[in-house]
Amino acid sequence: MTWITWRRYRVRIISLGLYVVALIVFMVLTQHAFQNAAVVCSRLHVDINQGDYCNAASLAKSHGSLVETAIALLPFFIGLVLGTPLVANEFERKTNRLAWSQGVTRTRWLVRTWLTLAIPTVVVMSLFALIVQWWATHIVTSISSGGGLIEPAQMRISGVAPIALALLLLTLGMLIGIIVRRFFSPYATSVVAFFVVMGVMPTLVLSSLAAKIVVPTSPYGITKLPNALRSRPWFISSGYRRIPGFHVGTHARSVSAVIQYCSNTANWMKYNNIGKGYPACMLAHGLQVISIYQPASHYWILQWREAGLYVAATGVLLSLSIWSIRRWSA
Amino acid sequence: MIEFRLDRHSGVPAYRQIIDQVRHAIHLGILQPGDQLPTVREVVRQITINPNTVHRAYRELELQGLTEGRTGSGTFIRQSLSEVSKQQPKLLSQLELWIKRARDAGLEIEAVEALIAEAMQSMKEEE
Amino acid sequence: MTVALETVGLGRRYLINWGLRNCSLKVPEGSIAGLVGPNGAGKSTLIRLAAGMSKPSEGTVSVFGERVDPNSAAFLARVGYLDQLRPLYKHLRVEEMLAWGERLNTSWDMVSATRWLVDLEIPLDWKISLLSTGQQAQVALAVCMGKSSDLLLLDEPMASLDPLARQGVTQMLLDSVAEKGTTVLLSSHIVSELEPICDYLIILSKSRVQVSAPTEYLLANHHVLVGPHESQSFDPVNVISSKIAGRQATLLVQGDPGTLGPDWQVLSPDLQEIVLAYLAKPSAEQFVPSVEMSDLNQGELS
Repeated sequence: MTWITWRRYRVRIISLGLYVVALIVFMVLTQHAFQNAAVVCSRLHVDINQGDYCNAASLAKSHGSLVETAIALLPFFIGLVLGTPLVANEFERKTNRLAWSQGVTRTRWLVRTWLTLAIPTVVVMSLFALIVQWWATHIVTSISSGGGLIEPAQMRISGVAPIALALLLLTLGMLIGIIVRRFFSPYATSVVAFFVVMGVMPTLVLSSLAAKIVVPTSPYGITKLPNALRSRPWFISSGYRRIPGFHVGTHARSVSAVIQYCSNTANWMKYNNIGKGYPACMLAHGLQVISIYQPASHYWILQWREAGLYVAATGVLLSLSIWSIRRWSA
Repeated sequence: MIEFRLDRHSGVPAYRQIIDQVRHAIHLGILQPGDQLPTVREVVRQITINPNTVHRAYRELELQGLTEGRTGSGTFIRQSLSEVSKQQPKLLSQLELWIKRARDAGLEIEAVEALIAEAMQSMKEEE
Repeated sequence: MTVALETVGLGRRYLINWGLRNCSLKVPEGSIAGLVGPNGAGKSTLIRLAAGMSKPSEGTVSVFGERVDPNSAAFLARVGYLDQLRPLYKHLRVEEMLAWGERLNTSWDMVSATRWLVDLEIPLDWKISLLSTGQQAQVALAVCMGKSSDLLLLDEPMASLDPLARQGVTQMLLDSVAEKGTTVLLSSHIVSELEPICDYLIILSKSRVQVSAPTEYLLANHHVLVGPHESQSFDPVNVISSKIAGRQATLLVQGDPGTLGPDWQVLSPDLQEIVLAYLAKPSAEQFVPSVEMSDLNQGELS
């Protein structure tokens, strides 16, 4: 039964294969471009590997960003091209009535069909991940202006998470192809769903998967990074926290009012005795300005946990898919 | 080997036609004792007929003593009708005499057959 | 006599319309049962319910004594189903389609399936999409029957096929039944196709069962009466159809016509007449004799 799926998907599989090959070619090309640019810039005493800027590197940089985006979209295409039509096609051509009147149960049929694409996806993505890892560690730091692998843009394409993401989107596409048939296009729905997953994870979930490091800003606006954050951390966001033991007066403003007040430069002069500008103003109201980071050392922890979430979600979606087709009635 | 034909518009049930054709073939000597009747599958390949019907006809032939089924091999002719006539020469000549009288009285063949059928029917009812 | 398929009060609703309603029948094991009725009568619905492709809205459907469960491997092994659309994986070659069937079924008769198609001169190494409609139908049936199931449910297997293809389909079917003793339920709206091969008949009209009986019993218990129509009155319950031409009446009557005057003729109807008469009179008395009365294995019937 494996080969019938592969035969049916011949064109799609080859297209994806060509896409992967193209990505590899471009990775090699951008790698070369960067090496050349590094040489040129180093003559100007600019080390682009540290994130410094030099004109010669700008073209290589923008190409590198494009390739990065294209790599990040690979799981998306896998889900859309292989996942969504997997069962949807059977419904469309009514071959599900043929397949589900044979000797295997619907559960077995779905799992087998899914595996015929899931296993190659994981294998190919894993091999591809090795190449991406090489490329990312060489180039990516320059592209991201001094950032490291732990930056979201790099996290998205490197490590093990993309492998699990491809598996998840494959399964999500399959489920959407099963349940979305009557009113909306399963492909349109898949595109939306995939963007939601790919958008939500890095912005909302990822940063919380490991312990964050909080660095306070001094009243004079200086943020001294501890040792753990020395090498290319991921700056997540800045915020505030209450200073413990600060006495809140009876006419205290709400936090948002304080922030609004302190954002007004006209008010800064009042606090010149304790510091400078915004941080000083905030401090005077019992709020400490902080910066939130993930250290570079958390790279693999975040990767494995992210991948773990994707795999768990895949399991849930696979179960939902099985449940859905078992319930199906003509 | 016998080739069956079905006349679907004769009003005669299919299984009856098969039985009659076998009997007719035995009578004409086309089928001899020891000859094998076509298997149900072979019959079904010759004519479009429900296999159960063929089974039924063959079972009836067995009950009538004309055939015997040998497990694994098929259905075979057991005795020929002409053997019956050999065993009962007196009955046969009496019958031939009667038929001649009926024909002399002006009856067509169909009428003769109808008379015989009617007589057999009323005998069956009495039994 | 074992029952291959039994329905009790079976019904299936699609939103507000009932595709099938209050259907109670039994199909004996080993029979070739024909399901006739006009389009929209519920034939496909009944077959899909029996195959587990559809879920009942009310009532029950059982196969060989077990409730139909499309998620049970045991059920799937015993029942074969051919959908009206005869779906196939058209990008495969014929032999690959058969190989697929072999992979997905434990008891697969590759020898017979191949032989049927070879006998019909279908090239096994051709892509299915290149075959004619009739040939594709024959391949679909071969895949269905290669499964060696105990019960075959075929939804209009001969519809829109040319006579040669129809003959091929019939031939495959009869050969399979002769070899394996499969019970078959096939639907059609052409009675003449079913008459030579069916020993059990179900007439479905407007989503309800009108007739469910062995064909021989059906034929033996219906009579065409021809005579002067004033001279006899009949219990209207038993009269399925009546045609008056001048002073002559031609009636199709269910059951024993009783004693008639000398100017009445009693004729035997053929299946086509009976079916047409029932379809024309949806209010006709249901003809569903009990199993004991209509035992298939009976010898001469009254």
